[in-house]
Amino acid sequence: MVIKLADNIYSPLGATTRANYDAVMEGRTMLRQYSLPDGSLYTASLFPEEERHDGETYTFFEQLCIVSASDAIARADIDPSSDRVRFFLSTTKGNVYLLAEGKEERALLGTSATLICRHFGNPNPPVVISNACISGVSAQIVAMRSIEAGLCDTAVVIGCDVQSEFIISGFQCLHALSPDPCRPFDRDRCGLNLGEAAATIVYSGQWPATNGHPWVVAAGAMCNDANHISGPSRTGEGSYRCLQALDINPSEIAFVSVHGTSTLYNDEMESIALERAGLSDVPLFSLKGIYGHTMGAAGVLETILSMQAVEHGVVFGTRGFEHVGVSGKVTVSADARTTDRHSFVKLMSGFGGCNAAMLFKACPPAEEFVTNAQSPVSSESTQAGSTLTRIRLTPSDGDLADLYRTHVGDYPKFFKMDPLARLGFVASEMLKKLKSENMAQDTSYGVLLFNRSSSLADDKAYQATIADHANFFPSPSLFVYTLPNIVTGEIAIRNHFQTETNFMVLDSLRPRVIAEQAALAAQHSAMITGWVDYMDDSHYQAILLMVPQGTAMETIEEKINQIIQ
Amino acid sequence: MEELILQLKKQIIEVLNLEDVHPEDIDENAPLFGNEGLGLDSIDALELIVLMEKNYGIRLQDPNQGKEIFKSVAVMADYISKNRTK
Repeated sequence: MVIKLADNIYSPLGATTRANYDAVMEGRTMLRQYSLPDGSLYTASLFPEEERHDGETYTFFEQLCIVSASDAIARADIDPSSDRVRFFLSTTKGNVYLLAEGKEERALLGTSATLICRHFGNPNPPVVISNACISGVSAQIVAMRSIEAGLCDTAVVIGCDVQSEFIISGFQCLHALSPDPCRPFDRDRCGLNLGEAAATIVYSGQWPATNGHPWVVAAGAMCNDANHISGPSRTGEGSYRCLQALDINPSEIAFVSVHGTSTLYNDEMESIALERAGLSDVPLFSLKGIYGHTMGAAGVLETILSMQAVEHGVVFGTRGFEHVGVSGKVTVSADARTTDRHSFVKLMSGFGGCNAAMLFKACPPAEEFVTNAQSPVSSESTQAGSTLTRIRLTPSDGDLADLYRTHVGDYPKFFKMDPLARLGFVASEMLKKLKSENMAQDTSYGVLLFNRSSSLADDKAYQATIADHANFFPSPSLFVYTLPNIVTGEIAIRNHFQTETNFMVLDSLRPRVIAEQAALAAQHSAMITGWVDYMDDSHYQAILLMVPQGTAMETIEEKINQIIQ
Repeated sequence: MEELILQLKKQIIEVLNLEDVHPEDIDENAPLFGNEGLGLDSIDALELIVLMEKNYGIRLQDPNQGKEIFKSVAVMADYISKNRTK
C-alpha cells in the first residue's frame, strides 16, 4: 500500500498546490505568445523573466525543484536526510540550456539530481527518470514499487522542466507547436504549447498520523507502442494496454486526466485507446490549455491537480476545447462539473513510443485498511539468474557501424539513429544472439536502460544547429533523439516489444541501483536491462543483461560487478 | 535541371543519412515516401522541409504542402527551380 503524504506545485500560476488549484478553477493561465529567432511564433506558460536566473550554487531548474520539494517535505513532516527516504527526479532536459555556454558537466541530469539530494542531506544515490513525456508517471510507478519492495519507507518524487530555445526550437521544427493557445481534443487543434513548472509528491508505505485527504496509488502500468519513435500508435495500442492493466471499474472513476497535448495525433490516439478500454462515458479533461506541456513535471503536476479536483468534488473543464475533433468515442469535459466519485485515472504518452497510466483512489477511513506485507526484492532467488546472458561493448570492440554490418545488417534504420541509439541497438541485437537456451522463447521482454550522459552527444549535435541565429536551422531528425529513452523505443520497435520501457539517468555507473530497479521492473518474462552510455566516439560503454523475471537483485548486481571488473 | 536533380540527390542522401545509397541508385521519378523507393518517413519529411529552406530559401508554412512537393526528386527539383530564393 502506497499512500500520498503531501504535495506541491510551483508553477507560473502559484507556489503551492492550493494556489494552483484556485487558479485553474478561476480559469487563469500564464500562456502568452513569444517568438523564436527565425520569427516563428509560439505560445508558452513561462515564469517571468525576472525570476529566471541561475544562482551561484543552484541553477534556475534546480531552484524550482528545491523550492517545490521543500514545501512538500515540510507538509509531509518527514526527515529527508534519513536513509529510508529516496529521491526520484523526473525530467527530460534539466539544465540543457547550459550547453549553449559549453557547460557540459553542469548540464548533466545526474549533477542536478545530486545537488538536489545533497541540499536535503539525503545519503542515497538519486535516480533520474527520463522517459520523455511520461517521465512524471514513470517516476511515480518507480517510487511505488520501491516502497512496496521495502527499498525505502518514503519516496520524494520531483517533476520539473524549464523551457529554453533548445526545447522550443526542437518542437517548432517538428511542426508540433501551435502559435496560439492550444485546443486539446478540438477539431481545430493545431499543436501544443510548452510550459514550465516543478511539482512534488511525497509517498509513504506507512499510514500518515494526520492527513485530511489520504490518497492511495492503486495501480500503475507502462507500455510501449513499438510503432514509431515520435508518432503515436494509430490504434492507441500502448495506452490501451496500460489502461487494461489497471483493472478499472468505469463506474467508480470520476474522470480520466488525459495527456491531451492538442497535437493532431496524440489526442486522436488517446480517444481510440479510451474507447477500446471501455472508458467512452467517463469524462476526460486536459490541463494543457492552462499549463501547456510541462514535460518532466506534467505527470506529477497533473496527478496532484486531479487529486485536488476529486477532493473538491470537481471534474475540471478543458480550456480551449469546443467541438470534438477525435474519432474515438469519448466524453470531453468542456466545462467544470461536479462529481461524487473518489478515484481517477492519469494517462500519459510520449516520444520513444512510451505510454503510462495510473489509477488513484481517495482513501476510505484508515481502519478499513490492511497494510500489505512488504516483500523485499532480495528474498526471491531463482536459478535462472546464474546463467544471465550479458554483453559488454566499448570502443575497443570496433566501430558501431562495422558491428552492425557484421552482426545485424538487415535494418537500414540503424543509420538514422543517433550514437546512443546505435550503441543500445547493436548491443541488444548481439545480446539476443547470445541468449541462453533456457530463456523463454516469447518476445515480451521489457526494456530498462540506464546511463550517466543522457543524450549528451545528440544534444550537442542539435545545439550546433541552433547556435548561430543568423544560420538557424534546427534539425528535426536530431531533435527527436535528444531524449535518452529513444534507444528503448528503437529496441521495442525492432523487436515488436509492446512492453514496459523506461530510462533512468544516474550520477555514475551504480550496479546496486541498476539491479534494484531492474528486479522491480521485471513485469514481463524477461528484461533487457543495463548501462548504455555514450559521450563521444572514443568514450562509450554498453553493458546489457537479459534478466528473467524473478531474478534476485543480488544476482543482477553480482553479474554487473563481474562484467565491469 | 539535370544538375539540380543530381545536387538534390546528394543533399537528400547526406541529410537523411542514407547509408550505402548513391545518387545513381535514386530514380528521380520514383516515390520518396511509402514502401517503394527510399521508404522515407515523417521525420525525413520534416528534414526535407529544413533542406528546402536552408539550401534554397523556400519556407513551407504547412507541412502538408510537402506531400505534393516531395512526391519524387523530379517534382521536388521542379518546385525548387520555380520557387527558389537562393
